[in-house]
Amino acid sequence: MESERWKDLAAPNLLNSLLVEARRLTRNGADAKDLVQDTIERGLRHYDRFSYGSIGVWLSRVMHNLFIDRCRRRRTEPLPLETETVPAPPPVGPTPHWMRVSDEGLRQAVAALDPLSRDIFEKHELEGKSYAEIAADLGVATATVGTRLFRTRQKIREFLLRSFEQDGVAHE
Amino acid sequence: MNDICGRVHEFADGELIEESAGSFEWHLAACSGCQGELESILAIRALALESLGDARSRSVRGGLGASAAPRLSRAQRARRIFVAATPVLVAASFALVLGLRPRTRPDTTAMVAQAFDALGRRGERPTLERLAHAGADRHRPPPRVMRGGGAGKVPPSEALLRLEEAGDQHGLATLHVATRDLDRAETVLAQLPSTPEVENDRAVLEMKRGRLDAAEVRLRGVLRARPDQPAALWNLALLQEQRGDRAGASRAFAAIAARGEPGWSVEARRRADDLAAP
Repeated sequence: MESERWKDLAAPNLLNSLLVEARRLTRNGADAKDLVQDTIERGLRHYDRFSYGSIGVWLSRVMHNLFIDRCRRRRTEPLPLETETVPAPPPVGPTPHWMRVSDEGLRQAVAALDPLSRDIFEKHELEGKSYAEIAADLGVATATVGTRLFRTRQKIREFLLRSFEQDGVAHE
Repeated sequence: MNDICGRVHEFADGELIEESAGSFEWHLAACSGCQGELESILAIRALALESLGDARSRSVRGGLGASAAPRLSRAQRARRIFVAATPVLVAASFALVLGLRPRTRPDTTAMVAQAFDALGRRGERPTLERLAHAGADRHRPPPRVMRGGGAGKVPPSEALLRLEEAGDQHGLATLHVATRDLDRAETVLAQLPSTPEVENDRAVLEMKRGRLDAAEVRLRGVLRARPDQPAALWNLALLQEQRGDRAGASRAFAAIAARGEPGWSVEARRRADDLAAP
């Protein structure tokens, strides 16, 4: 009975989340469906590698890797419309073990944000609103929304990294 | 780190215009730093949806008895979710694999253009506003009726079906706007990532609903991101006219006329002159 509830509540949400994310990355519906299809196929094929944590995060990593593969394939085509310079990696720091983040850990990280940043983060990540929609809702500049989101993600990452260090969890 | 690396968040959020997003993809393919940043953005989003989104769902569903369910650890939940979700994922995967839609997206511009033309009267465009889909953005004469010639009409069902199959949600929304089926248009547009074109069309919806302030916020947002977005420039001039700012609208249309776009320039000049007349 309970598994039926999860099937009803979780699976459609999971597919929908993947599709929304894929649409953001690919910017069109058909490519997004291709990406989700490939993600599911690869996820099912390699499910034995998923042992703990968030299935959503795990599938988002699968999708990310597939998307990067797609970008690499496209790079062989003459595409750039803007001047490209030699790429250099930005300082992103160590990647925490995302799979080990608890619900409570993330809630604490979000609770530690200032109210405006939290509001922007939730409207964007949970409600799927655009920068312009959030700006209109909150009466702030569109650029402010982008800047706040950038800083909020940094703060969340730093908060989680600190909690990992306190818990003695190794980083990748 | 170079300048383009700073755009990874906008890219992940679907906020870059198509040209910039295409260039960023090209960069992303070779930049390990941006790949790591993108991965962490997606992970945080997935975690937020699962942790905080669940909390929101629980609070909404509290009255249905969901709160009585035992609290499970993330690992327990993950296993249960996957076990329960697997048949659904397999079914979804098969549905996709079995070819319910083509793998490569056909060019739907002509399809939208043909359906859009069919919704106008006597070769007129069905809406006074300018919609940004490539199939609708070619100049046609303005409608002679206030609500636009497409109001009350129904888009060709074959066109809707083919656009749906092709995954061109923006094209679908364009036809719904043209027929003044605003609720449907809003539902479809809400599912799309924000681009200047989509945001312009959301502004047109606001205009058609008489919510001029909201429309202006959206249009100005588009023009901050892309100052020369032609549809947004057009609609902002129309909006000024609807507000009664004849002088401002006249100047805005005169500026559009100077851009020399086929058809649009001539109509803009005429509107600018009409609005400037005492």
